[in-house]
This record gives sequence, C-alpha cells and structure tokens, in this order.
Amino acid sequence: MSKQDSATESKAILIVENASYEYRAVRKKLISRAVRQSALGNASMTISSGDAIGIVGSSGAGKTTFARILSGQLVPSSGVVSYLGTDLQQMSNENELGFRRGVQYVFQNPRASFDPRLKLGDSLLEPLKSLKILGNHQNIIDQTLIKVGLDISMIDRFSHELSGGQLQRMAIARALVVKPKVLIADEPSSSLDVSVRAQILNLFKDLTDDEDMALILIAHDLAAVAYTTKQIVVFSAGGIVEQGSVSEVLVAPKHKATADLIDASIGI
Amino acid sequence: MSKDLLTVKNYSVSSGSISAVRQVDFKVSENEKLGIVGESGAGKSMLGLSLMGLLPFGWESTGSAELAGRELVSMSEKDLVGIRGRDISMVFQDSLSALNPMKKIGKQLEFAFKHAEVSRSESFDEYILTLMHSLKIDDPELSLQKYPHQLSGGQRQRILIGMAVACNPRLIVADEPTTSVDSVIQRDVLDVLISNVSRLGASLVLITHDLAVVSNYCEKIIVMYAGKIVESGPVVSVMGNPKHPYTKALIGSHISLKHIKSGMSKRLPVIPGMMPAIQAIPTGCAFKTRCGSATAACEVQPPNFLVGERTVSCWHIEDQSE
Repeated sequence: MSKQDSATESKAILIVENASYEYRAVRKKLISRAVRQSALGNASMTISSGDAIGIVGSSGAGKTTFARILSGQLVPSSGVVSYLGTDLQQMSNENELGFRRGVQYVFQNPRASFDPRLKLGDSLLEPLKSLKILGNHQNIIDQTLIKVGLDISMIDRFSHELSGGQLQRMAIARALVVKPKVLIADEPSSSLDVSVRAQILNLFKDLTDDEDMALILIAHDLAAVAYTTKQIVVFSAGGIVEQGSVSEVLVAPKHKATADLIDASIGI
Repeated sequence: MSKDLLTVKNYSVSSGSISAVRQVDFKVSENEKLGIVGESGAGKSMLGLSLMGLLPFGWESTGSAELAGRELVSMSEKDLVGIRGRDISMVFQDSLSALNPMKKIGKQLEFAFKHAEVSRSESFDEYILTLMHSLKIDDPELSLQKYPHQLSGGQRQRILIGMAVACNPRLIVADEPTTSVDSVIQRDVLDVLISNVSRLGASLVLITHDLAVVSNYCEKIIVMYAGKIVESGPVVSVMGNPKHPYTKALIGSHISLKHIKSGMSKRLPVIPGMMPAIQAIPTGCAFKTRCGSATAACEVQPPNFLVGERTVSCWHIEDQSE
C-alpha cells in the first residue's frame, strides 16, 4: 500500500487498480432479469515486499471480496489486478504458476480448509507438488512447521486430531511452504479462543518481520489488526474509505466508519 | 440487598463417568447480570443448557439448582415446559439454526407467546410491534413478514432476544449471543439485550469467551476451567485484580485498543498447552499442567477460598487483598 513513486513501483508485487465486483443477486421472478449487486467499487491498492496491511470493516463492507480478487479467486467485474507487472487476465500458464506460488491464502475456518481424509503431511505436500517447487520437500515442510511452532511429528496426524489453534497454524504452514511473496489471511483468528487467538496473532506479528513477504490480514476486530500490522485500510459499503499507519488511523480517524469501529471495540 | 433468584449448589452435568460441569456453586440475584467466561470446553454452554433442561441425550444434571424456590434438577419435563419462556429463557448462539427456516419471523414470535401459554389479547399485534421496536429492528412490520434467511445476522440475533424476552422471564440465559457477528453489530446486539433485560427487571446469565463483553456488561463474573469454577466475584475486583493464574492468563492474552493506543507493543502472553478433554481431566487442579505456579500441592483439588467478596480455587493465593 505504498505511494506509487518510482522507488516503490520497483518493489510492488501486486497492484489492484479500480477493482469493482458485482454479485448476481437472486431473481425475484423466474422470467425477470437477474439483478446485479455491487460488493466492491473502485478499490485500488499497491502491495510491496515487507508490507503488513490490515484490512478492517464491518460485515458486508467488501473485505473478503477484495481479498478474493487479490488472490485471483474472483475476477473483478472491472479494473485490473497485476502481479509483478503482468495483468492476471493476460497471464501465460507459466506466469500463472508463479502467481499461484507467490500469493497464498489462509481461510477463516481451518477445519473446513483441510481434507479430512488426508494426513496433514500430505496436505502440506500438495502445494509443493502442484506448484512444482524444487528442493527437498520434507526439509521444507519440517522447517516451516518449526517456524509456525508446531511439532514435526504432526504431519502424521489427521486434521481432526489437532485443536483449532494447531490446525490454523498448520493452515498457515501450508501457505508458507511455497515461500509466497504475499500472504493473505481472512479472519484467521476470529473462530478461536482468546488464548489461542493470541498465539496466532503473535505468529502473524513475527511474519511481518519477513522483509521478503507482504502480509494482508483481514479482520473485523480492529484491535487484532492494529496489534499485528503496520498499516490499516478501512473498508465500508464496498470501498476503501480510509488508510494510513496504525497510529494515524487509531488516534485521528477521519471517516465515520473508522470511528464506529474504534467506538465498537470494547476493551477490558 | 437483592434476593437470590437462582441458587446452584454442588451442581454437576455428567454422562456416565464423564462430567462437563463438576460440583459448581453460584448464585444469581434478582436484577443481576452474571457473566460466565472460559475457553471452549470449559463447560459453560452445558451449564446453560442444563439450567434450561435442554441437555443432549444421555446427559443429566445432579446437585441442586433452585430458581425462585423451585428445584430445576428434579423437575419433570411437563413442569419444565411450563417454566421455559415464562420463568427462564435462552438466547442461542447460532441464530440460523435456532430459528425455523420454513416460518416467517412473525409466526415464530407468535409461537414464543403461545408456547408459554400467554393469553392472546386484542392488543397482541401491538405488543409484538412494541417488542420489535425495543429490539431496534428497522421496519418491524415488514421484518415480521420475512423468513430468517432474509434478515442479517444481527437482526436474527435480535429476534432471538425478542423470543427470549417475549413472556417476561425472570432469568435469561444468553449463550455466546454475539460470537457470529462483527464488532459493530456485537455492540448493538448487546445493547438491545441489556436494555430488554433491564426493562423486564430480569436477571441475566451471559455465557461468552470474550472477557471484554463481561467486563462491560455484567456485574458479576464466573471463570470456568475444565468444568470447575476457578474464580468468581464482582467484575470490578476480578478483572481489576485477578487472583487465579488462569484468570490472570486469560486477561493477559486479551488484546484491546486501549493497550495498543497506550503504546503496548510487547508480545501478547499466551497460555501454554490446551484445556484437557473432559474424558481426561487430571486429578487435583485441572489447570496445573498449564500453570507457571503449579507445585506438588496442586495434585489435590483446592477448595474455594473466600477472598473478600470473591471465591478463588487455587493453593497459591499470596495476595489476600481485594
């Protein structure tokens, strides 16, 4: 989310320009025209190495839609997403493989994001094989598990044998094995208990030290995002309404949506 | 001093040799708001469900739970049906599964009244509309004609609150009523819940894993761990000066904007390990495996020590001040 000067352009990994997205709403009658509902309008962002950006906003603000566009899960209705200077829509197969390696996603519900029939080691091996990562896969997996604070022996377990916090770490490890340039995490701690949540937030905070990777953390909890990231982007009604450093946004919010989020964040 | 409405003594919830709630004692006074906190698996929800007589098949409660002088533990299903809604009611966690997807909201609210055998009067529709206004639902007449899936999560949660308060109960048990909504909606839903509880002069048992919710909305707090109450007392003293290592750890791992604004950049402390499964609760203090202060004394279950107005179940309370 750096300013688009030439120096930053050179480090830019993902650039989103004026991305909009419309969902097809349900028809009211069988013969009526399908209504389109705008979920995101003209959102732009530049993501560079070492960025740690928190995306906040209430439900329906467009956070997840934006993240899915960033990760290539959704094609924007209008606007351009480019990875290392290449438009995602114009990408060759080879470049697309690079994009898949470079941008990884951690989902909200770790239980639903693992195949229950696979051992966790096989789940971690899958992206390494499908994205054609070279090197000793077992070593890569072992080092990544240590990085996220999990025991190496856990690769022999199934997903139901791990607690929610352990499984979310495993999901983060699965995203990290391919050494992504951008890691997007969508509400990774909202389904977890307070103590486990602290573990996951600490892990993400550690990951922000990695200057070669950008972290995008999406949450409706402003405190979690402010603790973990360096910059905050506030979404409201399908658009970016405010962005700045954590201290700028928290101390002097400029938009009502930001002020509402700060106001709603109840503390002890 | 207000009268006790609910008195729970030596109360357990078990299935065979497995216990989700183990010999707990607490009281809820009239007009009091009690928060029950703890991690997943602490037994909070089973405690709430057992008070409503809604335990899963094979589970039973033992001990004593008196609601306004009536014993709930030995109450027949017929009598329980009689008190549900009118004397004790519940706000459930998942609004989509708590509401019938096939019926309109208006019909479901009507059912809440019928079930509690409140007689219909000419002003019945007016009463429902007044209730909808108290729930702060926009366009209440239109909302009554909608199906649950046509409302937002926050609106559905408010409808559940409406169904719980419809028949003026004396005690409302709310089980994680805001877990599935975002922080802005959470505040609105809790405000609606508290304003309705106050309007009725009812008491509230608020089950949550969010310490901030209890510290802002309740007067008393119970901290549960592995089916036991480890600390209980006034919110101000427990949150301000926690005595039990588990309460301290829970509060320590909570993150709030206040800490960040005040420049707290240090790492969040975490509680090592995880809560034991109910099939494998260790003897003595169940928290000993995760506790930094554990000693050989913790092999024996500590009693509930009285410290001022609160109880603490730990052998290592050096500081006896409030």
